[in-house]
Amino acid sequence: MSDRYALDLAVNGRRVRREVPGSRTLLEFLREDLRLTGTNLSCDTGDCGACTVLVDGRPYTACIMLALDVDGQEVTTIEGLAARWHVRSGAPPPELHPVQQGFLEEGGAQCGFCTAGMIVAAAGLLEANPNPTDAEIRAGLEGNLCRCTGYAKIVKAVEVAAARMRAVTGAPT
Amino acid sequence: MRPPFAHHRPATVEEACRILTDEPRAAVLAGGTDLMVHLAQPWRGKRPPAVVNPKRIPGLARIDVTERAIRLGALATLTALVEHPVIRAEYPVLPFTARYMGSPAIRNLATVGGNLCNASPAADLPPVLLVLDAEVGIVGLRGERRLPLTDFFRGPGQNALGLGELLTWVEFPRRSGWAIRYERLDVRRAMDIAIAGVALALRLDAGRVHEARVALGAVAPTPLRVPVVEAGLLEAGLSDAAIARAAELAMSVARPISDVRASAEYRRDMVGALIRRGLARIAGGAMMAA
Repeated sequence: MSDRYALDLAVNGRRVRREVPGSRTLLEFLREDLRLTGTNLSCDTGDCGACTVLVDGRPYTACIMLALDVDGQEVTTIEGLAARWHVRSGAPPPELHPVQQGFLEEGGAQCGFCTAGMIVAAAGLLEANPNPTDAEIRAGLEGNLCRCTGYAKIVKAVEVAAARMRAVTGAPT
Repeated sequence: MRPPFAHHRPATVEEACRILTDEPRAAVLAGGTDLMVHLAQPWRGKRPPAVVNPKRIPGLARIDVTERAIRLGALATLTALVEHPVIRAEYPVLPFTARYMGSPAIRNLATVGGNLCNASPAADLPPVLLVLDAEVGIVGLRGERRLPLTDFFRGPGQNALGLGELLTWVEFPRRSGWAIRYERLDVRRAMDIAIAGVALALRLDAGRVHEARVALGAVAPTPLRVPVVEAGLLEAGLSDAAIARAAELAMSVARPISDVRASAEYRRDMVGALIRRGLARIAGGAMMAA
């Protein structure tokens, strides 16, 4: 079908206006139209979480969403995560979001295919709950599958990031 | 990659009904957590040539609480169910059940109406909404009709919507004094579906069962209210013998199939186990945590 619709949204802090086909997924729009290839296509059925992005600060699986359904909303991908933390916390602009830094230090990534989605989901979790328990971290990441790590280092990385983020924001511990 | 499909974005319910009337093979796209999968996997056979996306229609995602009832708009998400303050306080069984479904990202997309219209025999919300005596609102070009939820499910993937009709809400009466539980058996809590599910709602007073609603999931072609089990509980209460009898009755009326998740025999046994577990917990005073 050649029907195209106007799409007007914010991606990683920048306003984006495009015409997109009605059947274009958000993931296709991000990867192919905007060339933001940090968000991965894996299962294409919403099951694995590799395509997780934030929409208005909450996690979504971009592979099973239509781009038109985020019209007027604010999308954050792994590429925009560090800048989002800078804007929200007032901390100096970091190269990496604290969750990315935590994954790096704690060995939270192996093959890396789930990593972008895992980190975005964790960042979304920490925005809603700055001081999660181990069980709450695991529940927050229950839709993100990792076939390498066994999750222990991922949970540790999120704990480390959460503590550092609370130190900056002053959120209660 | 999905083959391209036409995407209609009606601005009103009436416009949606007109499109659905003109294009009988079009599918309604709510959260899309099921339909978008089918569109990506056309070999599974469900391949609508067009989708009707109702998300620009105002008001369909609202949750309205009045003195007498709670009405969930068809596009209310599972996350909205989890977070709604009145539902959390008065019907914690709904957030409890919704948290069994998908993952946080999926719950941000998935809608109450989609879960009902999809009419999966294994869906989690239908048994719970059945024991809450829910009704649904259905709009077509000739106006709105109400239907008890018990009449909505017609078979696997089949519901009572006629040509050009759209589900717009599901509503249940606001009550107090009921013990309500959902018990589910699965392999993995997240991103999995029920092997068997049991919803129970009992109005108890001084150890007596004054009213009872029992519904089963994943053990019949549709979610199932089981009046024979309910009648037994009214008569015999919650003694050990009465609970054992209720489990036997539920096993006798279940019509499970064997599939990749479990055999019919196992499902039948487990629906009995879930009835025993849920009734024992209610008898022991265990309410559903918020």
